[in-house]
Amino acid sequence: MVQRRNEILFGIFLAITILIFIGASFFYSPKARLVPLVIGFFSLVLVLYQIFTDLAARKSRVGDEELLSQSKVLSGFSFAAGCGILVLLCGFFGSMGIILMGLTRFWFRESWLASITITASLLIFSYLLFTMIFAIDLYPGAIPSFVISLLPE
Amino acid sequence: MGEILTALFEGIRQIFVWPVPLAMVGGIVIGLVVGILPGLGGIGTLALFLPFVYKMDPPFAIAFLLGMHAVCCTSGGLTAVLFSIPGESSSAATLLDGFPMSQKGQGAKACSIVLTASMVGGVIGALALALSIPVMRAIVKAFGPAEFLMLVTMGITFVGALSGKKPFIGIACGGLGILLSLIGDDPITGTVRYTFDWVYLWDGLQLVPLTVGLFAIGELLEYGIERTSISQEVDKKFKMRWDQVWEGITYVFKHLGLTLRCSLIGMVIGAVPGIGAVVAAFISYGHAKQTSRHPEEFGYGNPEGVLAPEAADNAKEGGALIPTIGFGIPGSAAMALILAVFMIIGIKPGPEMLTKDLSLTFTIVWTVALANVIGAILALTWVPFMARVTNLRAGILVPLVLILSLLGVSSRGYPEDILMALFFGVVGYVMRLMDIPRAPIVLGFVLGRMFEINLHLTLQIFGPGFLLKRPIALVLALIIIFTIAHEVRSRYRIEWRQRNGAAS
Repeated sequence: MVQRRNEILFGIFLAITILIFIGASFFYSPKARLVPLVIGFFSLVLVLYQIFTDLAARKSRVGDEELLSQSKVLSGFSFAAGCGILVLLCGFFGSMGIILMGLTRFWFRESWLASITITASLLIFSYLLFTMIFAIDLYPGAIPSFVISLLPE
Repeated sequence: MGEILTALFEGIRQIFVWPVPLAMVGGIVIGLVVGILPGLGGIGTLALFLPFVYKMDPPFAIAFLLGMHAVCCTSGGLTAVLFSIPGESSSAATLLDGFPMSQKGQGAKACSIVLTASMVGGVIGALALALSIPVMRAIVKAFGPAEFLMLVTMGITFVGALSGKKPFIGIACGGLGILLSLIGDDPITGTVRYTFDWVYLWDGLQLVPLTVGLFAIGELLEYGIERTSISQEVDKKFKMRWDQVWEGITYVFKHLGLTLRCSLIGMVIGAVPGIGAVVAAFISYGHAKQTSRHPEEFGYGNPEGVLAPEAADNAKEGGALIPTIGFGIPGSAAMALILAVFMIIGIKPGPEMLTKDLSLTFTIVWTVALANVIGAILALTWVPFMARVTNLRAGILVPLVLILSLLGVSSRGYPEDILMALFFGVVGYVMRLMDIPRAPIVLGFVLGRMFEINLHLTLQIFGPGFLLKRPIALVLALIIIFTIAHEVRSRYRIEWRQRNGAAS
């Protein structure tokens, strides 16, 4: 029953997302909105049918339900948001250093030595592979870019 | 006949002329390593090594680049099994059952199935390439926009209907994938859609952040929050699972019928230009589920679900070479680069490859076949070590997967790619918690553009009644309807039985 309620919630979320795509498509030319409308309406009908079927089946049995673990979703969202902000501010290597060190030492409670070893080895691997071998410039970050711009040429 | 046999032996002789074997093994090792990293797929690596081809002899260049390309998809399946990170987009089908096998402590067996099925599939693809160039001309010509449209629809609806518990939600997720693929420049009218004035979206959403987010980061969040390792099997002692490796090898040969059928599916789909590996892998997965004695175990670690997409994935390389060599029409983006390599080293694809340059054609066939065998043998020796990764504690595993995922995502150097991966990571995590299938979104996304272009072309050429004018498209449409109806009926019967059972 927990699962059914979750599926209804997901169905509603999916229906709203599809509706946004359908609604926004009316700003484009008839040719450009053909596929969004065809796929959007078809998918919407399927989702709505599923939601109503699940709702009908749920009516008979209520009581033993609980919502999707909100604390888990909140933790996941917070981690992703924190990572995103750090990447924007500190760049790839800076943010990864902070995230990996923080995760290993404070979340997983590894020893300081293990945390530093894991973080350093992964960062060195990334640097060697991407920067040295493939010559790919990873995002430097807002703060390092600002600091570098202050340095005399 | 004598001429063909001479060309056959001349083809293999050229491979063993020093330093060609070295080039092949070098290419294979690079291909295996690159295949592991998401975002650095076979196409990117081919492009990276393209400038070096100018200085190579034809057999050397063929051995190096084809050897590398042939095994890229092999190792992509390994990360899908071990970390739920599809190294190549086609490996998304492999992780549906491969990753649950790792969670059950059967990581080494799943990896072994991946490698053995890839090897058999690759060899079958190469054999098919050798045998079918004259026959495939007719098949390739029979496929127009209407047939492409129905094949794409078939791929998306099959996966949507067959994965997860709710066929309609699965198909709608496929629809959402198509809608997401429409973000950015419209290929028909040039209109910029759904960007909401964000310049990053003008290029459209990128496949790597979407796939890595939905699968890898979604899983990573689970292990991070729960502080667990991938494998739920408690295995404190360091034990090399050679027994599982052997089990995996024998499993493929015990299911040789399924391996052969899926390889043929992969080969035929690979031969049709523009369809690609993802459809081949997912259609094979659907076929395996439909013909399995235990379809209810699919998605929960059924080895057949690992075998089928991997056999198809490697067989499609041989198939994709058929139009590339025979008609100069690349079967995929990677084949377009291979075609460029052929042009650079002075090989002229076309009918001459079947007459004047037949020995070179056989060099290509042997290279693909040998690369698959050598690649699988090399990788099989690593499997027990790699499978240990699934027993790593979360404190080591999560940082490793996080950096591998975000490195793959960062290959374009845009921070927005990382943000997108993190956003889809949360979406993937929520979908995981709710047990909603994620693969249909990826497949819809990959095929969305192709769907749109072929829909417009079909309507322009044949009008709305195209199914009545194109028999192959009609047959494909009937297969889609029959499969969905069958799947929906069987699911509701199971649910009805469960409800009645619970009531009584």
